[in-house]
Amino acid sequence: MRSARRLVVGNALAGVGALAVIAIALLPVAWGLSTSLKPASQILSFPPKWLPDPPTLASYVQVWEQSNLPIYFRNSVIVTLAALVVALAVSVHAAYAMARFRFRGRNFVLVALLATSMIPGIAILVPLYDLSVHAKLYDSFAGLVIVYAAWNVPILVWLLRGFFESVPIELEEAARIDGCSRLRAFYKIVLPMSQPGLLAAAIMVIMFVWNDFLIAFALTISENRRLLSVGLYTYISNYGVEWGQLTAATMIALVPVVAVFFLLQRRLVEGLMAGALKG
Amino acid sequence: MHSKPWLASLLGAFMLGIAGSVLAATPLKFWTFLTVDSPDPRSAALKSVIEGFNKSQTEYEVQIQSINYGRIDNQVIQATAAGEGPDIINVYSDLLPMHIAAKTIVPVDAYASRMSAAEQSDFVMPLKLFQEGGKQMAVPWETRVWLLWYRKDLLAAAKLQPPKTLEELGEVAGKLTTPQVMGFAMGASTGNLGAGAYETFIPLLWAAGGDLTDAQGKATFNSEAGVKVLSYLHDLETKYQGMRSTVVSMTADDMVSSFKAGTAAMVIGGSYRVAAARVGLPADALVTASIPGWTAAKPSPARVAGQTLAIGASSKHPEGAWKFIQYYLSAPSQIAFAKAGVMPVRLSVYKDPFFQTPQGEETQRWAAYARESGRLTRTPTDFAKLSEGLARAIQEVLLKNADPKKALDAAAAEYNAQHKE
Repeated sequence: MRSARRLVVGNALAGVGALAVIAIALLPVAWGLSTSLKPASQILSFPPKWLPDPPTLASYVQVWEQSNLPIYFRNSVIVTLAALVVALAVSVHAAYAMARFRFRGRNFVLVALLATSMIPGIAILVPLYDLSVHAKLYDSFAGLVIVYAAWNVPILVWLLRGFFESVPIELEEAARIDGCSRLRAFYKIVLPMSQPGLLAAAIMVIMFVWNDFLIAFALTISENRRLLSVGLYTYISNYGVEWGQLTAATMIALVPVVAVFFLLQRRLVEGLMAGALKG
Repeated sequence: MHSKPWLASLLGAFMLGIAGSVLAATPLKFWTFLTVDSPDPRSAALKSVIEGFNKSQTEYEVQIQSINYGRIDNQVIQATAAGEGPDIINVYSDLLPMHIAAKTIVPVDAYASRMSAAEQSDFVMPLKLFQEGGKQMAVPWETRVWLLWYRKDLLAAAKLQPPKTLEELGEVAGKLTTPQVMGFAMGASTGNLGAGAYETFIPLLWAAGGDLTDAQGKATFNSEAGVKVLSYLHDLETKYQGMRSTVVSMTADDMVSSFKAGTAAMVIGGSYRVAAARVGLPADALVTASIPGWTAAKPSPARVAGQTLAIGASSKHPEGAWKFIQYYLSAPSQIAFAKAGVMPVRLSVYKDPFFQTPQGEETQRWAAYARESGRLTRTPTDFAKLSEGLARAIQEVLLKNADPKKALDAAAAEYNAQHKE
């Protein structure tokens, strides 16, 4: 009886705590949404109003039709998808090798891979900039895609290695007995069975690239190559912060990531848990 | 003999390609913090200037790159070091010494000397203010002056007149202050390089007979004049109760937001922000005036600054760059910017009928204030350290009731110890 009561109280406290965390996390977003829908006269009014009266899409029209936000949005989509393809293409093969092949120095390679992802981005930003200029990749999509893919590969290798190790080797052996090559068995057996892991990896890359500011800012200069995260800075001008436009642009930037996350969240959790258990 | 029409076509296409590349306009890279694609009227003005220049001749084509104002200087320095710098650079006057030291820009004497004497003296701020070692390093295209902003609606509701002296400012601020409203606010945070604190402190310091640095670049703001100013700011908080110590967390942006929200009735703000600040405010709510002085005899000197144009050190087309700069400074371009709320630099432009309109008349007043008592601050290359140190000294006094002399002495000593010029 006492333990049942404790369980109920414990669950209630956990629920309250979770709600508090959600409220803290969502409050700025809610305020941003409210600001994006307010007429200019209400954005900085005091006392502050939660609800726009009347709500207006003027800020959204301004950022979408009178600024370069559509270009930044397009650029972010291109770079995110390209980086995703390259990162996955490299890391699935590397992870499979780490999972299945026994070779001298394998553990060292794994640790070294992980160690590289511990280096703070800002520490290598200047050499990256210099490298991109000398390689004529500065201010190009290719330069961004290469850097983003390289940045994510180490963590993806570790994540996917766990998934590949969880696929029973007997299935691959059975396929090879039936005439499949190793590579074909990898593509036909291992990869399909590792879907949760691949989706988890995909979400990690998408969220990283979409939200990144540092690399996008350092390695691009032209409007036609600017990503959304850097483009949002446009609304913080020398003449003041354009709060209505900034919040409208931010809401637009949130939509794809939130949509991807909601659609695939179950797979993400499955993927991360399975990878953690098996790895 | 067989005719070979395909050969003739190929040769023709080849010749056309050659001719095309010879005739194609030479691109000029122009880096600025302004954009051409934004609802801001300045963007429309900039777009019209660039399109006008490109259409007015076929030799050059200006291609603009818009970079956030907080980042443009770092990116210029970075790009120039990599040999990829632009042809024309927009440089803020306060940061000109930094660009000169970083060798991102080259002298424009060879071109500026072609201007007639009348043209050279046709500037609100004399061209010599943008010289270094006797060489003309940049030319201004925009003037900005710091003013007293006040909320006419709040003063009218309290039946108060705008202050004419700093003492009156304290009294008016005290009467306007309520739990929700500060009579006077300043951005005393070290954020944004302490610019908010600096922008309020400087005009008052000059009015008291002091200066930020001496000719050797050593800090001198801890003089009697500096102590007088910091004591006055402390009095605003304690004696007049017209300002709260919460200003130590406000940047210049926060100060403007507070003014717009009506939680600050008076601030010292730049002319360049007035147009944006008026968006969403009731008509005539924001009124500008000269910054009051210590006596009614004259206002505080106007702190003047501005955006300039310079030729990039990486430029392979300095002649083209100068051509664009001249177009940028022409009367039609200046008037286009004036209508967008930018204060022109050319004195002759103020004769245009636009300056008889209410908006134009206000700009005239600003220009008159700038001409009569305007001073340009020559900032050292490590200006950020100086302004942040000054902001910290102000915070010590406002938050902890520190002795103004001791706080300023400490800030000046810290700066002078690390200053290398």
